[in-house]
Amino acid sequence: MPVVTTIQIMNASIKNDDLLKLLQRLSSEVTLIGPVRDERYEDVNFLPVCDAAQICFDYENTTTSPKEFFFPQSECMFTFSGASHASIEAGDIAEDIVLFGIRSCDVKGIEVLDRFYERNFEDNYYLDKRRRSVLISLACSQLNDQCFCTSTHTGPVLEGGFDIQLIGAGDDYAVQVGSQKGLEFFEKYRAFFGPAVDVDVRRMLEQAGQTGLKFDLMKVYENLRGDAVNQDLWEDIAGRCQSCGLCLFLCPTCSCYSVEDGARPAGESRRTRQWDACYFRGLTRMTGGHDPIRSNAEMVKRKYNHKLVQQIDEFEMSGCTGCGRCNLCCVGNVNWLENIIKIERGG
Amino acid sequence: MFNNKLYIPRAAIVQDTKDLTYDTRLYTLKFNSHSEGDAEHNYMPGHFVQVSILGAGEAPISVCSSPTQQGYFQLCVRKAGRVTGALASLKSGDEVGIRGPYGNFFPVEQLRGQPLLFVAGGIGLAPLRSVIKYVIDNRNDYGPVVILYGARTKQDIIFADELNEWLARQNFKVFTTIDTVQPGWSGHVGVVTTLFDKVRGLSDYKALVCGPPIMIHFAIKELLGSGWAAQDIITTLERHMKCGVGKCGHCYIGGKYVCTDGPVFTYEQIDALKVPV
Repeated sequence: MPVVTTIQIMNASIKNDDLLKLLQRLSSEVTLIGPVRDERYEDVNFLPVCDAAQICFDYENTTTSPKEFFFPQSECMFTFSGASHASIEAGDIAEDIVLFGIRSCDVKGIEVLDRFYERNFEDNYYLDKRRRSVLISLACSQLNDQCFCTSTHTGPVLEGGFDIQLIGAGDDYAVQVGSQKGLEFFEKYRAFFGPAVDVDVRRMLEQAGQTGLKFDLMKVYENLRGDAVNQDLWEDIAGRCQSCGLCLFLCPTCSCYSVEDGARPAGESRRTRQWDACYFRGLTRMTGGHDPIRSNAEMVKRKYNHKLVQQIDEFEMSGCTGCGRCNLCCVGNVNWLENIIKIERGG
Repeated sequence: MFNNKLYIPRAAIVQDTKDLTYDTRLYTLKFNSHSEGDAEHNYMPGHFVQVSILGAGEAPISVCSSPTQQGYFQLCVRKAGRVTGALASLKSGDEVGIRGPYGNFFPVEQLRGQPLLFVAGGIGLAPLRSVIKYVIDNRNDYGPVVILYGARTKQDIIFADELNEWLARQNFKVFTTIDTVQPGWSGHVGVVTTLFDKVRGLSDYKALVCGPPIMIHFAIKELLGSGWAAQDIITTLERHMKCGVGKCGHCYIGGKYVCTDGPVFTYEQIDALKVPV
C-alpha cells in the first residue's frame, strides 16, 4: 500500500492562535518536529519541539532537509551477538511523528523518496517511519534568492502530494487536506480548524511562475538526455568539487547509503546503514581497484543525469525539487542552479 | 525466494569447502531451516546472493551451482576483501547469512535450442558454470557448446577437474589458456581473446561472457569484430553493491541499477547505457 493515499482536496482554515494551540497540544501527544532557530548560528533546523513557542515561523527554509526523520544519517538495521543469525534482533523502531513547517520543495523531495523506496523492493526501514508520520507543510509565498521550485514544478504552493498544506492568508492560514492520513489527522483535531476558505492555488502558481522562472526543465532534460552539453562544463564542475559530499547530504532526495558492521563500545554489535554520496569515489570503486566511474567529470555528470533525466523518466517528477541548499553549502563554489542554466544553453 | 525479509540474512550452514586455487574456494551451502517454497534450488543461473558474515559485512556473490541440482547451492569466492577474507576462515558446519537470490538471470529459456559459446576469464567462470551445469542437466534442450577459458597462470585455473570433464563430453569443446608461458604448461598461451581463432564462423552461437572488466571489454570487441550481433552477446556485470535491491545506489549507472536491472545484460543494452562495462 502506498505511503500516501491522495484524496480530493478538502479546504478549511485555521487562525494563528488556534494553530499555536494545536501545536502545543501535539507537542504533548506525539513527537512533534518543527523548525527551530538556533540563536548561536542564526540558522533554522528541524528539531523535536516540547513547547510550541520554540517554533520559528520566520524562515526561508531549514539548513538541513527533513529526510533525516525517515532516512537517518545513521540507522541500526539490526543488532546481533557473535556469529549466529539466531541472535539477530530488529533495529530502530518507528514512532508517530508530526512534521510541522516543511516547505513545498521538501514535501516533493519526500515524495521522490517515497516512490524510490516503494518501487521494486519495499524498504520498510524508511516506509514504516513514513507511514507513522503526518506532514504539515507551510507553503511559500515567493521564491528566495537561491531556490527555484517554480522551475522544477515543485512549489512554492502545491496542488497535491501533501497531507496538510497551510497557506498564509493575512494573520490566518488557508488549510488544505490532501491525503487519507491528513484527513484522519484533521478529523482528530477538527476543533482547532475553521470553515473552508477559497484559495486559487493555480493562480498563485501562475503568478510565481511569471516572475520566478529560472530555467525550462524540459530543455534541460533534453540537453542532458541528448548529451548536448559541452564537456568543459563537466570538467569545470569536477575541478571545483572537493568530494566533501555536503550537497548530497543536504539534498532532500539523495538516498545513497553504505552498510557497516560494528560493535558499540559497551554493548551489542550492530549492522548500520549510513548516508553515502556519489561524490565520494569509494562509492563505485571495487575491491581490486576497478572503478566503472573513470573520472571526476563522469562522477559529477552522473548526478545531473540522475536527478534531471533518469528520475524524471522513472517518477515523472524532477529529482531536484529546487530547494537550493546545495548552492549555499559548496566549498568549491559549484552552483547547481547556475550549472543547470548553463546546461539549458548547452554548457 | 531464499528469504523475504529485505535486509535480514537467513542462516545457511557450510556443508563443504573445496580449495579451487591458492585464493579461491568453493563453498557448498544448505539452509539451517526451511519453510514451504524456500528451498536451496529456488534460483536461476546468473542470480546472485548477498553473503553475510556478522561482524564483517556483506558481499554480492553469484551462485555457481545449477538449480537442477537440489538440496544445496554453491558459491565460488576469491579471497579479496574483508567479507571474502572472513569467509575464507570458515569451516564445515559454520554459519553464513544469505539474502536473495537477487537480480535477473541468464535467459536460459530463450537460449533453448541454441548453440552456446562461453567466454570466461579468471573467476568469471563461476557464474557461467551455473549455466553450463544447467545445460548439461537439460542436454537435449541446447545445441553444441564451446567454452573458451583464460586464467592468469595455471595456478589460477578454477574448476580444473570440471573443465576436463566437460572436454570429454559429446558436443562440448573446451579451450583453456593462461596469460604467459609457464614451466609445466603445454597448453595454449595468451589472453582469452587469442583463442578466438577456435570460434571463427560460429557467430550463430549465443555468446555468454564473464570475467574482469578489461577482459569483458576485449572479448566483446573481438566478438563484434567476428560477426556477432550485439543482442547475441550476453554478459554479467560485477559492481560495488551494498543492498542488492536497488536502494543503496552503489551499482547505479546510466539510469540502471546493476543489482535489479542486471547483473545480466546483452551488449546491446550495455551499449545503450553509454557507460563502460
